[in-house]
Amino acid sequence: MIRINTEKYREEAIKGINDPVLQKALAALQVRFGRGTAEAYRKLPEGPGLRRKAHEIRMKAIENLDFLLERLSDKIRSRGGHVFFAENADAAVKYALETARKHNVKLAVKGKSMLTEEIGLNEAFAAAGIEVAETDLGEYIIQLAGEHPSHIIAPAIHKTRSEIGLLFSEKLKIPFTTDPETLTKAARKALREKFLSAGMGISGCNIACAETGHITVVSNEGNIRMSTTLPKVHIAFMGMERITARLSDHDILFRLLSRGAAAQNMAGYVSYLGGPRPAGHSDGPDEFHLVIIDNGRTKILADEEFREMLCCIRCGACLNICPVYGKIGGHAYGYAYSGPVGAVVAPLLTGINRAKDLCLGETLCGACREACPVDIDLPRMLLLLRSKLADGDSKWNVGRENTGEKMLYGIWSEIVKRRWAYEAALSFSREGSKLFTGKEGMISSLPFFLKGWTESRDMKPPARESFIKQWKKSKKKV
Amino acid sequence: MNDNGQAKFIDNIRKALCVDGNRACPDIFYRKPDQESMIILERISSRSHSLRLQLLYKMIDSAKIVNLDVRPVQTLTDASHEIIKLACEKKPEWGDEKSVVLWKHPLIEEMNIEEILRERKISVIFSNRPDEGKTGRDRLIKESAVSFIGITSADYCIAETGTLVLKTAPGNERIVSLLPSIHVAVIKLGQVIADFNELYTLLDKELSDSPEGIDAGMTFITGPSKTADIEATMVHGAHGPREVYIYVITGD
Repeated sequence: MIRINTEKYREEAIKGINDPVLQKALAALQVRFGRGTAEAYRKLPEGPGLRRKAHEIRMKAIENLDFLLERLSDKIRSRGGHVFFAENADAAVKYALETARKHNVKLAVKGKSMLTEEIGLNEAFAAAGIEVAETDLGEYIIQLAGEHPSHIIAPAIHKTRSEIGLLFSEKLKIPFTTDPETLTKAARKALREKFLSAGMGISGCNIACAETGHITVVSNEGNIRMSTTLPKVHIAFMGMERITARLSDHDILFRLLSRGAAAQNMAGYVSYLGGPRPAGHSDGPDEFHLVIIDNGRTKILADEEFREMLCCIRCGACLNICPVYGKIGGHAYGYAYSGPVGAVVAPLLTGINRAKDLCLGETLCGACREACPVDIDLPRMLLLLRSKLADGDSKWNVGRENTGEKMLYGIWSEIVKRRWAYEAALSFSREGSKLFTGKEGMISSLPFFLKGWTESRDMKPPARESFIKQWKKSKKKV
Repeated sequence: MNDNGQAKFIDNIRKALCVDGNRACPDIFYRKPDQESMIILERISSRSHSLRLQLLYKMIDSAKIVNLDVRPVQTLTDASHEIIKLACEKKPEWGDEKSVVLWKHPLIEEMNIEEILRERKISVIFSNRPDEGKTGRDRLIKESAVSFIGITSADYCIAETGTLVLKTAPGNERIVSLLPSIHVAVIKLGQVIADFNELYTLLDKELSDSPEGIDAGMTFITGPSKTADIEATMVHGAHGPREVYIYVITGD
């Protein structure tokens, strides 16, 4: 049910690179949001250092997660809300389906939530004959097109306005147009009917507040407010780490989230929701359900070297700056989370060997760390994942990716320790490379296990004399 | 669904963190205002009229970025005149009938605009349905969905970003700022505060004074609904209101 295609990274990355529409869209996205976010951090009254403070707030929450979740659920239950703790995707989906069946739901409206992508909620509801309408405009477009999101915040960036125009004229029966305003209006009208008739509203949770017992949802379109206000039942899905202790923690966190996600000073809408409609009120759902999901997160929590990954608030800032994401696009990652965050989270949640290409594909340039509103050291963890792939790790159930490579490096490390052996290896490679050097003086294809080095680039042959020899010679001349 | 999975779930977290469930809960929740927040609270309450006006001008500037219309008016009567004018000029988005939905809120009621609006063939409904239970809710949704203007007040408005802060309460329903095509908010100058730091300091204080403070929920609204999902082109009025006006009463 759950879509994991991390094995197809190379194939999908090539597709992305060869897609001119995607290339143009990605470049525009990165210029607008990538640079905009950096600028927005600089303009913070407290300066970019505020990101470090946010990191501390998040880590403190993670280290007291047990207390925070207990407090949150106690508060919500005290107002008549339901809280369900789901150890894995299946348990979460099952609970949601039971709730939907209990209320005889035929149509559910959903505000953007990557977690529901992670657990495969839409597919499960569809299989049970319940329609789930995505209501974020970008998500709606790709749902109509039968695709999956390619960006955490801007899911439909890979589609042009003419493609969307064609799609809408076919599915919504409107005259063909490429005008974004007319297209948005058509979606507004179509989705309004769904909001008003849906039996269930589905949302994610940005950052819950433990002390007051609220989840929060953030959007610009207002679709999440609709989904959480109009239907009779609201069910919210929350990754267990998406919580903070104090209400006032949100000051820093929301300001940084808005800047990281869309270079805004504040997102359009932030809602605090903590239960069903209270007595005497004329607003809000009859029932409120919160599903708190583990799905592999305690394993990340247990490993102190990866724990900081749970600080992530899924804003997508690292996608907007990453040179690799900027070329291959989101679909290559084959998982709900793409870009640098996906390259760390996907291996940790789905298996490091299985999703190895994601962390191997990143460049370790460090841009993602600078862009992260909560200052997560993603490059460090990418490197750590690579070392696990090279050495194996029983704790994470990682097998060595390439035993031959490991052996060769073992031999190499013995060689470099001995001058005579190193010289011998040099002259061997010098002689050997002559066989493969082409007309332009470059090596464009190496044999056997070495071929990976020349698959996508030419290599220079080794110099005729080593640096030390050249140095000694030049000194003699002086 | 009695087994909500909590005990085992929390236990797994404790194992992962290598902590004991019986350990003392660390001091992570709010208790009482500290020195710094006392200074902030004092600053807010003693802010002079001219400083508040400065904040308002700052708000007008920051509102432009998000396509939000902030309009200072001298008195509440001025605000009502402007709102009536607005209601007469604007066209309804869905259908031909004009209808306005209002919060049941002292400031909004004091405007006394129902009669004039009704005279101009604009129907007026109030959002609170205290005695009607579920049917009240359903009717409110139905009526708000065809209303082209929703009128609310707010608890605070933040100058730095132009953000309205609305606590949910009986009479102060969130649908009113959500379903109509145009959202109009009326506030007093004294409700304008500088930034989110001031807001959360005030909320903390209110929380310690009355623990149920934001129990029923709270919404921040920064400008009209917007989307940039089609080729990153900004369009206003994705799902929520297409236009937002804030009338700030500057006189005493």
